[in-house]
Amino acid sequence: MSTTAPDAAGMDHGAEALRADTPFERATIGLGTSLLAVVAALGLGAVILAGSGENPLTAYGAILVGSFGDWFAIGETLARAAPLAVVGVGAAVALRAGVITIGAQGQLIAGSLGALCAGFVLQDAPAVAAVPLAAVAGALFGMAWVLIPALLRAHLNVNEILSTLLFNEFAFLLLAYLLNNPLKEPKAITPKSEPLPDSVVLGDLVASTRLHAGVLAVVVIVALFALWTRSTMGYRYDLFGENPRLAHSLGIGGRRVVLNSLLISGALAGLAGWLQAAGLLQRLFVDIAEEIGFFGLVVAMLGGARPLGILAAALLVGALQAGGLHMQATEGIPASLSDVIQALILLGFAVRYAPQIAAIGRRAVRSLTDTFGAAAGWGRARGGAGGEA
Amino acid sequence: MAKLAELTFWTATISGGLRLATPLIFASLGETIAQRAGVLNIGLEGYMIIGALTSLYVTVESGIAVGLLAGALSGAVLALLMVWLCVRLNANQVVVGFGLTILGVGLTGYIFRLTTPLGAERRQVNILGEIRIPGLSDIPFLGEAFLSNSWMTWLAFGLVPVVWWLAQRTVFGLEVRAVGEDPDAAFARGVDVIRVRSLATLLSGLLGGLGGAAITTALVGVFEPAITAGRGFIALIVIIMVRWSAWGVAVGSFAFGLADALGANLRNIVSDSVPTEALQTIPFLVALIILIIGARRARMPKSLGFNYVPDR
Repeated sequence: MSTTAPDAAGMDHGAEALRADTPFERATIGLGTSLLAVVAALGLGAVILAGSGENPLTAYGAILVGSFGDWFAIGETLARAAPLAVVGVGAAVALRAGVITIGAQGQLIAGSLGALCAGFVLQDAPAVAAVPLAAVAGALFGMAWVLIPALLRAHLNVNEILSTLLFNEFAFLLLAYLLNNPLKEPKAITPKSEPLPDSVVLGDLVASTRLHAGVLAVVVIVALFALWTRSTMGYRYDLFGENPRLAHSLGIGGRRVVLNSLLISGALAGLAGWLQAAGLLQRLFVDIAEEIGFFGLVVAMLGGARPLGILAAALLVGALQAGGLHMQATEGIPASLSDVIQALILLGFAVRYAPQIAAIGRRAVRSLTDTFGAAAGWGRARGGAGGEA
Repeated sequence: MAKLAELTFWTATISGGLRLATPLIFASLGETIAQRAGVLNIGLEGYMIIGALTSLYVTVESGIAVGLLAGALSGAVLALLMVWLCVRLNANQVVVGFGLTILGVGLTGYIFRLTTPLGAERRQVNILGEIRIPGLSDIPFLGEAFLSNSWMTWLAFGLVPVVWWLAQRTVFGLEVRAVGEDPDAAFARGVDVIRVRSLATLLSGLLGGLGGAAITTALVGVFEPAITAGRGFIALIVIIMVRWSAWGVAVGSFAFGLADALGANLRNIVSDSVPTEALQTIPFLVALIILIIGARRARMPKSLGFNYVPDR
């Protein structure tokens, strides 16, 4: 094979380069190169800061304080990480099946509209019923928003990256229309909806933070995703993502896999919209989706489309964003710096398994294991099974 | 609605369509070459926005010629990252492209906010003047609609035959198509696959940056965060639609620009009962239709999106 397939998750294409290594080396190199990517991104970020006349230490200090400095900051980080993780899981389901969707943005908007509709209908219902029904409504609306691109991809082979992108625009314009007209709170100056009825609103988990009960749903979703990756069905989807032709010959239908994985990702993006509408903001705003849809995909890519990876990546991105806003507010350094750092981390992750870079890591790990291994006896077995004669 | 039948409406819409097509033509022409060589630049949006900011900031200081050059070069710098990470180190093209888009948008947002504190005056330039063809531009309707354009627009359309010639009539063009279709065979014939792909990607960066420059210097005159508004992705749609053809790029870009201008101009003449948001969907609806039609006949370069790893 002289051409490498653009594998779905995008992060594992170096597996080949690592195949000869022991599991210990592989894990160390994986973790080490990931950390290296983060450190390198922060280093480049520091260069940009210094180059623009800002003190990198001040900036990073403010990011740290704004993301983990106190309970409020931790609440902000978690509240931001929650929808990112949910979108990330959805994107990961699709990525594993070889489908790339950047439509989470639009599906998230649809999901928040679903939560709002549920709120109108269930105004007087008990919260026990209303809250889960609102979540379901969010998921269904999100799913509905991806239905057309999914059908187009499955049946007419219309590129899903670009069609979902267009549906983001439609969703945004629809929301803008609704919030400027029928859903507008009458006296409000900026377009926003009435507050969601209490019956569907998610309560705060920790007093005086914005951390709401919805983040508990994230734990459930990630756990379900972990089960999915180990299920027969999940395995089929992985197989399709890795080798559609083999999957086809094993009777795994491409259309159904593509359609279902897109619908699942849509439902999860819709759930993230529910988290935003019923949990964090409790109203609809024009920018309710912020850029969660896009960064959710970043989270899926950074997390290697794996459950724990996604959780870690969502925390990292959530912390950078919460901290970035704090930095902007206290130090006047634009929060866009967080985006720059995230982009650099993503680029670093994309090449962390490149043979040239993995080789450096491998050399480092080997010299370490050789040193310690000789002493402790758990190092890499030298000279194969027979040992050196 | 009676105004719909008036000539002035269509004159304005067509000339507006040509204006709005300009950045798309630049970006899609470069990306056509890159995709023909097998490199998918999802980061085109990033090349464009960094070109938009750089060209404006440099034009304010040093004039339009240097500004445009700087805009193109800044796009190429981002494309250089694409070359290094994907063409050389074989990273996933979609992931890196996505990262480059975020990087471009984030970096320009950072620079803009830093140089433009709240309340401060924005850097702005006079948008480029029109070039009228003596005699022809005075033809009623046709002259006004089609032949009185910003010279950036003339440049964009002038570039179309150049790129066509480059792709179809030169050795480089042949090599580009060869490495995009079958890099192994091209390699066997002695083509330096990595070099051709690198050059093609850089070309996409240069023209992407120039496309961004067209937005700030020829269309708007100022920069604001996210000013490219997804045009990099629209360019990707145009390319699929026109099946990687340089002449097609001109037509497809004009179609999208026309829809864009139509949405904007209709706002002035329809009754207030039509929501402006509905009119704003027009260009995206057109893009969707283009995408669907394009997908039915698309025959993309065979190795598009696949990295080339020489046999070790």
